[in-house]
Amino acid sequence: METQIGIRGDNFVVLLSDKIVAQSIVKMKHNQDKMKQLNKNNVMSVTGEAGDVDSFSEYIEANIKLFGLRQNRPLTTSECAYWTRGTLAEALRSRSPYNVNLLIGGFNPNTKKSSLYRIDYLSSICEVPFAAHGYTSYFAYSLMDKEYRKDLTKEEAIKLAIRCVKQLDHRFLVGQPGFILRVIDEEGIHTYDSQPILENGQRSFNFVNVANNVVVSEA
Amino acid sequence: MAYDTALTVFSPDGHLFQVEYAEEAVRRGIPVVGVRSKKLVLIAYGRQTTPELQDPRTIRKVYNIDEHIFMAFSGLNADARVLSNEARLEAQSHRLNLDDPPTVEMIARHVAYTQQKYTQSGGRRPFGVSTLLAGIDPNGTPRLFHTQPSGIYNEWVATAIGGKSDDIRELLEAEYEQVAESEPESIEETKKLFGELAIKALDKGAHCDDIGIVAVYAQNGKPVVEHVSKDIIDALVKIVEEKKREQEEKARQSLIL
Repeated sequence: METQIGIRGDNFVVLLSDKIVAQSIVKMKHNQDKMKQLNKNNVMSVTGEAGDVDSFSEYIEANIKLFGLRQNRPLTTSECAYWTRGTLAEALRSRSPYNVNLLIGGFNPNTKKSSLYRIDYLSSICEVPFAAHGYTSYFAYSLMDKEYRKDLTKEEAIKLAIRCVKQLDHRFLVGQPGFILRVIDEEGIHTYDSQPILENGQRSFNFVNVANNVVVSEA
Repeated sequence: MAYDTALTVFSPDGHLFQVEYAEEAVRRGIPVVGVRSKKLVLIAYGRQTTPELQDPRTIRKVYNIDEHIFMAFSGLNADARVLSNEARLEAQSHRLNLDDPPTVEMIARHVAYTQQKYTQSGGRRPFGVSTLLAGIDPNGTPRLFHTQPSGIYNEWVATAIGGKSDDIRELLEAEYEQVAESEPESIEETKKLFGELAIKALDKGAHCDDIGIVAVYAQNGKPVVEHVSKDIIDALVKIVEEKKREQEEKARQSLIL
């Protein structure tokens, strides 16, 4: 039921996730940030079994920090993604597998290129231009298939993510009240929070940059 | 009986010779000076002259341990690398287990604990390393710790390790208070004032052509580990040399009179 979307441009990645923590049919929390900032240009968004999500993502976060300290440089996106996948694969074949689905997106300051990795709970990994997990993917993929272009600008990518969210709100049985969106580019990580608006009687979302209050809307 | 072969054997007068030899290795190391103010901790170290064809960037005198802590050492380079790795692991596992950054003392205690372990069981050799651990506690206080090969650790406001550290400490004891009393408001000025003291102290130990300075302080509630730029260091070195020359001149004048 959780929402997780990623869109990669040439030199940026947009990650979006919902903020709900649910237990059975009850919403326990409405403002959970489901992303971890692995270092200054890589972000990991995680969904799945609540306990697994916390312990797995904290373990990954700490180790990636440690590797960065040892090597005296931040790890690249592919290094983060492949180490995470390896750890997940090892756990999968042990007595204590983790039930988590991940998107890892980041920007490489040396090559000036961005990349997006999709990893699922069976630890398959692939580098993709756009990605989603769970029920959400049925709605998001059709829109992204139609609208994705290689030369998407940052604003267009955010707007595409907003359209996905709007479509979810419109068609998906389990609508979600709020989202967090992050853009990772050369300057670092930018965080946006969602703001519901009413548009001709239908709900949509604006995204507000947390740092400077700049609003991005679909239009 | 030779009391300096097996590590775990005391000599009749209560010495562990291998540990004392390790301390000797530290005494032969390049001096490192650590100074603490109200706002920051700062460490000054001299760099070895490298052979012409060697890449000087591969020589590290300071290791970052976490976002808010770093370590400088004197003694055996290779041993220090093992210790720094141990400290980094402890820092991250502290964060993972307790969801909080460690204090500088916790890391110092862990490094000292590791060093002590290597003095008490067979088949091991003590670390030939003394470390200075400098950092900002999560509450914003600057701290400075010193660890020894025996596993002793102490907190200091200003100290030195390595060769001629006694002479350097003497100078720090004489001059620290006066400098600390006149601590400026801005971080930039404080860095310069204490940097000057550290360079002067370092110069007392051995003349270094190439000096490095690392400072840690809190900025907007976040820790910053700064490798001070070469321009600032060169300017400070010039000031120290200038003052030294003036003092010598004054001494000569008074001698003539």
